[in-house]
Amino acid sequence: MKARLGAQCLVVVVLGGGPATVRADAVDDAYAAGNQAAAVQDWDAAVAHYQRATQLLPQLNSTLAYNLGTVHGQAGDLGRSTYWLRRSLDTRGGPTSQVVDLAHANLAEVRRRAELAAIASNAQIDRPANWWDVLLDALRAPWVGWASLIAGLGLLIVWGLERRRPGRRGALQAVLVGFGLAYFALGLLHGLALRADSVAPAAIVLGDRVDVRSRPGRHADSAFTIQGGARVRIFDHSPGWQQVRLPGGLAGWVPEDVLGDLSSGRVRAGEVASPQPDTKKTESD
Amino acid sequence: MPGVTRRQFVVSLATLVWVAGVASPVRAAGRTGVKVSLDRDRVQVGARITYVVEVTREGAGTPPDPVLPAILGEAFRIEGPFVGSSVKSIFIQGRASRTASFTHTYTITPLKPGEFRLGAHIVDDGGSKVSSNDPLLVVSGEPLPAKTTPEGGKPSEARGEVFLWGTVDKTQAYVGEQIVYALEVYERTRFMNIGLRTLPTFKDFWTEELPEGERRNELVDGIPYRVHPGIGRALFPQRAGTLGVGSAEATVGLRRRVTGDAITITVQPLPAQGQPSEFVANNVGRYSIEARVDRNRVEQGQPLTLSVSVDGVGNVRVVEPDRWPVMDGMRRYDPKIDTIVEIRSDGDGRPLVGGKRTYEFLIIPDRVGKVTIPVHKLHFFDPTRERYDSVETAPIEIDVVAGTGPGLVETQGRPSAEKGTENASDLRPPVSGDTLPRHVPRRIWLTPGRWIAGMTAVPTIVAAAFVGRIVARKVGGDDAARIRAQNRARRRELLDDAREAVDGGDGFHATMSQLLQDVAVERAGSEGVGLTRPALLGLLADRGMDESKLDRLRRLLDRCDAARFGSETGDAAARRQLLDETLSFLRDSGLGKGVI
Repeated sequence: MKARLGAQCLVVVVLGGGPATVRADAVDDAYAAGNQAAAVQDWDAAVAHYQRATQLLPQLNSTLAYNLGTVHGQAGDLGRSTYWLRRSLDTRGGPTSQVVDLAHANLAEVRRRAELAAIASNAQIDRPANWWDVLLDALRAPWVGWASLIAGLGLLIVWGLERRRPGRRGALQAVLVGFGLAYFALGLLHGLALRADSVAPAAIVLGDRVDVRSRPGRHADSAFTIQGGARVRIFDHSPGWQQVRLPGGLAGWVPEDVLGDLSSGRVRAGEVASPQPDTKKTESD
Repeated sequence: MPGVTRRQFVVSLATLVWVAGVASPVRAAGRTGVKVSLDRDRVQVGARITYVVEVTREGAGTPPDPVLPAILGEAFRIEGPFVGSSVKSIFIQGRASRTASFTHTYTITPLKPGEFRLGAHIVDDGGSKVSSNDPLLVVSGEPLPAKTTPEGGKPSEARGEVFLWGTVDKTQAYVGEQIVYALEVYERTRFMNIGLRTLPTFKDFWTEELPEGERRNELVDGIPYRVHPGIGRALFPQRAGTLGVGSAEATVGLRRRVTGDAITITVQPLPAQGQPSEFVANNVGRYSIEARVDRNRVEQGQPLTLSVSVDGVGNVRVVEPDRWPVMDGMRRYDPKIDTIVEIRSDGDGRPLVGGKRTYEFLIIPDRVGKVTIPVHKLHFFDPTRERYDSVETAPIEIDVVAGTGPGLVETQGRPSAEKGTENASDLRPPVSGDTLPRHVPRRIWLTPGRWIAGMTAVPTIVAAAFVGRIVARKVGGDDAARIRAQNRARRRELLDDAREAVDGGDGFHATMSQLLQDVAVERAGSEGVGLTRPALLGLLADRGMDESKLDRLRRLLDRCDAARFGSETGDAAARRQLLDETLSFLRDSGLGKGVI
């Protein structure tokens, strides 16, 4: 009786530990299947396998994101390719130096194609990243936040010392000013960078070309067309629609399912799934 | 007055005032009046009635125009007005009195039966409304059908001094078929400032502008009119059914308005029989299609330009050829589209909208040899022949020779590649492997919320310190506590001074001596103030200070005195040692609280 009970418990333990192992294998299986499809240039199959891997692996993985972006680019889907290649560079995905180099190279190529496509079809695309964008990315980094906090802490300490050591006010005041400037300047810049992300998160336009409407609604006037792969900021929401703006100032409404949000560190199940083959056309209605 | 009592005189005077001020039907607000008259008060539907509005004004100025009752515009057809005027001047007791009178004569035709009150009113200079009498007209009979403007025709009856006349060249059309609409103003007498106040509405029509007509003179029912062109439009109905072109409204002078008739058009759907599978609903008209290339001989991998043009009469902005044919051995990029809208004319010289729509492609041949650009087709519906038709381009042969340069050449930012046709080596390959490299997601501890909390803590602490100081000053500790705090601050300052003087030695021993003396006095209490050193040390012993500590204090003070008053001040190392020993003593004895 006891032996039987012990065996049952052992079975339960084994089975209870089973699903985690199976899940990890499923991700690797999908990843390997995607690589095999990519090797024979079956891009649609590779996309499907990699997509399944992302659904099984809820957190962001830079290698997987890079592969998915690359095969999307090979298949000609510039919007999703741009989106996944950018996600692969997200530090939350743990990119290796190899992935970073490859992703930058492919991102440049996909960007070039998107710009040419925009010229040909008179669609709008965001301007290339310039020094200001690089600066904003740097200001958004956690180290700037830490630096401003440390400067604030130093400001408090030096201020306290300066109050308790009146005789040393000259030297301490210089340090106080330095910490104060660092605190305010870094704090202001970091805060503005964070606010920009929270108020207007960045997104990538998926699909080939998307008609941007003057107001939310399928039958609203089309204001302009935006090229897939363009980077936009999301400013407002309406059920099923989001208001986006290009860096140059053009703004309008697009369906929310044509945007890939860059600010989330997690990959939601079913997010940015590739369209079915018979719907791969300009999303104009 | 003989025979008239006072009572009779007062009654007569009151009656006279009432008659003059109240009973008159022509009551002027200020000095204007309005009166309406009909030649008949009972008629049948469709009968013509003369409706006269007389506006008078005493004194200087022109009488204002009358405002007709709204029911006239709803249930009557109005023609006119014919306006007559007269001015009468009289002299009374040396004063001139001028009365101007404008008579507006309308011919109204009731369109439906009923009883109608047809009073009018004017608005005088002071903005007050002066109403006329309110005659009743009784109309019997069956209502008249809605009158529509005949197709492209001229007006058959004069409609007064000025009227609007809108026409279409056809009142029955297919969806997408071009209909020519024209609006003209017929003017019998010369009016100043005739302007279109409200344009006609074209709901469910796509419109394109057409040139206006020319001024001309025309007889309408024997009456000469000047005809001014209003607007011209080409209308393309977008759906089947009964569509309407709304009536236009024009202002004549400052206050008069004339309204044109609405137009009804019956739109039929395109016939289903014979409709090609590739047919696009907007392709209604008459078109031709042509294809050209900029060169017939090209190197492999070099681009050439293919232009496909659709030309004809119809709504060229939306005309679309059939699906682009597959081009074997060549890559086709997305086209650049250019549309030119022109005014053409039909056989009768009427203006029609037409033009040319050109699709320009970049073609890159992939293989050497003869390649053929296939035919491009266009299906359209010809409404004049009421049948579907199709046209196509001729195939074009291209001679592709072996290239010497790179395969793909970008020329002035021309179109991008089609899907899946870019060179595979342009993109770096995916990262291969049987297992996906995993990583432990790095948790970012410093979230924006925590950062904000940390940043706001700094000014919060500073503000709290300031507030605490203010509160402490107001309700803080007693004098003894304040004195103790001041003493500690003074000792900290002494210690800082001593530290600074370690290297130089200037004032070091004096400072150290003062510091030690100070802490000893505080330890001894108020009785220790002003005592000599031996007395102070004795008091400390009485206060229970440990003998060893007392001895250390004595030796430190002696060393300071020796250095101050002796010849040997010692070097920096000796001073630093003295400082360290002093700090150690203060720590061990507990006398350094708030100082070290």
